[in-house]
Amino acid sequence: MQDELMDDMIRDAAAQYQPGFDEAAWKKMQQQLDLHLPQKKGRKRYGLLLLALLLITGGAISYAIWWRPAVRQNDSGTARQQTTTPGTNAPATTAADNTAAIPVSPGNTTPADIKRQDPAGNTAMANANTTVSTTATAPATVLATDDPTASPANPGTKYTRRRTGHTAKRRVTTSKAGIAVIPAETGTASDSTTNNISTPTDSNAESIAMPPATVPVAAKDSVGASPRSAIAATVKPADSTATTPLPKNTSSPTTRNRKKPKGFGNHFLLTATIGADLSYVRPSQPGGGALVYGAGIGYTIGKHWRIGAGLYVADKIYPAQPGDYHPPASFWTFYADLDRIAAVCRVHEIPVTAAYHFGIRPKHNWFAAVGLSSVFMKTEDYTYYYKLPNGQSRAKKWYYENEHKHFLSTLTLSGGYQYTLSKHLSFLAEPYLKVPLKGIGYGRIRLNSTGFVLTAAIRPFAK
Amino acid sequence: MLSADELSIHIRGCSLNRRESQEKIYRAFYAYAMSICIRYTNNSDDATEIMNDGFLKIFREVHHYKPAYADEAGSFRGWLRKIMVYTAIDHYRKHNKHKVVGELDDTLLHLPATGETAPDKLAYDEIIRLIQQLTPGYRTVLNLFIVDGLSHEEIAQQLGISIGTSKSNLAKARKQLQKIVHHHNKTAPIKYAG
Repeated sequence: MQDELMDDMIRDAAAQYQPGFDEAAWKKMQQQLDLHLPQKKGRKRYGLLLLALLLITGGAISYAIWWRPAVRQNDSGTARQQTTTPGTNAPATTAADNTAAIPVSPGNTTPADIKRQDPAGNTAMANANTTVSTTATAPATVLATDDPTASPANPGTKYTRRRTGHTAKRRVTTSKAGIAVIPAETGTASDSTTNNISTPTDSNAESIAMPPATVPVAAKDSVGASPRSAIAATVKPADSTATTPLPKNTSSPTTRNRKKPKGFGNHFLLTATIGADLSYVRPSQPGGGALVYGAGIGYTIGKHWRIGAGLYVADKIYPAQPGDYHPPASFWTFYADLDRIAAVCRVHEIPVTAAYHFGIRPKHNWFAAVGLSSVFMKTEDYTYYYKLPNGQSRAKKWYYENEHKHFLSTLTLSGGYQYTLSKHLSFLAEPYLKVPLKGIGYGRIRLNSTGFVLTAAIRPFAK
Repeated sequence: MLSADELSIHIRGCSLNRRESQEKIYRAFYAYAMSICIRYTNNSDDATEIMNDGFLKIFREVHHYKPAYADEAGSFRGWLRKIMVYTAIDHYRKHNKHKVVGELDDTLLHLPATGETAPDKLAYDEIIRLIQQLTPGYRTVLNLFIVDGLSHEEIAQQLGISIGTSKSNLAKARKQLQKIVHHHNKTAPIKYAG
């Protein structure tokens, strides 16, 4: 009896004893868990992918902002060479002013003369009211080369021409032959010389740096008399108010305007997308429709191709049958008699796509696209409908968050129509079909999707 | 305490090695697990060690866990209890390998009552503390037999001793505990259970 009493006392004490929680115990437990059951590093991979995407986007934008085409760099390089011309050419120009002649080259036996109608007579300063065109009177053949020695050290042939404008913005044009035409350094002198010419300078004269010529070139300023054949270069000041038309020989290397090369900015585009998505495992059992939205970047290659990437958010609402569901084996110990599954999942998709545009018209075109998407399951909400051994129906909910990531798991096929509103903005209407390459989510479901999206494509840096 | 649904979610989380779920389960069942482990040791550090080892086994094997009946919480508690008890046995084996527990004569199994135990005057935590004062062999057998419901055959099998040794250890444990209680009542002020 005594033993029974004691046994009851011990049992009661064991049942009722409730020690308080000890944080130190959990810390020790965490250490053990970290040692024996370390956490997966999956999130790091996801983070790295996002980081790479950000870096690519940032790099592309930076590139678009700061990048200049190589040809322009050459131009500016030439201009940089020629910027030194006015200062260092001043003596030569002055000499030309004084003698009304410009030496064609140091080795010229016959200097080229440039005759000017200069009321002051001692300066190259142009009378703003005087319209002058440069004329070579000699039947000269000026060899235009890329020789950069047409510079102060080796001035070569230099044509000067009076300015008619009030202000001379610096402008450099380069012919195909590489002849740089440099407007006056400053326009203030030009303004000031409208009535008063005080300082002999060619600062407001346009200079054409020419390669050394073996044939004497004589140039004279004469109004409206400019034999085209004799002039290798004709210059139109940027802000010219010349009343005399410039020579029409636009095919001349120096007068031909170069087309601005199209840069990255014209190809780079940002996209914003919104649409509707329908998910299903079996076509006969479609799930619910849901919104899909996201943003991306793109780049056009040539007239026809476009590549892109982005981040899209979509809800996948679908039913599944036990045969479609491929969870870990232990799942079936709980739900041996599973009837069906209802799923609501929020996914982030990162597609990489290539599109081919055809039927291209100024305002619209058609396209077909193919892409591969990585799917990141942000949330997974499953309801399992199953039966107990006694036949009773039960439903159980399971929820996962950021558990499953599936790289390049979906093939996307799409096509559509693009309407171009302006060079900066266009709209794309795009129906699509997503085919699973592998299962996604806890149940490794091979989930199909179809839908329709509208995309606004913006070219923020287009020129 | 976790609801049945929460428990299900966190059990599944544990099977996926989610730390949040492991912490939830740990916190929810800490008191229960500790109340088991503390009886098998004489200090809280050892009890914590046993308990953490037990939880580690649970988190490792939780994907094998299958509710035995509809009451999932009760089912899980039973499973956890079993693991804790066996972890405590492992701990005892590990640390008491060379402590031979002698076999008692049958006569010792029927000790006369002292009449001075007054167990109802002890608080639960005091009783647990008194149990902790037993020698490891006696304490283990006493816990296994009285609290955790193992038979002498099972105890003998688990501890690697004979059935007779199990029985004698239980008798000795009772006797020793009675003495401890008696001594406790003489030296400590009376407290009431509950």
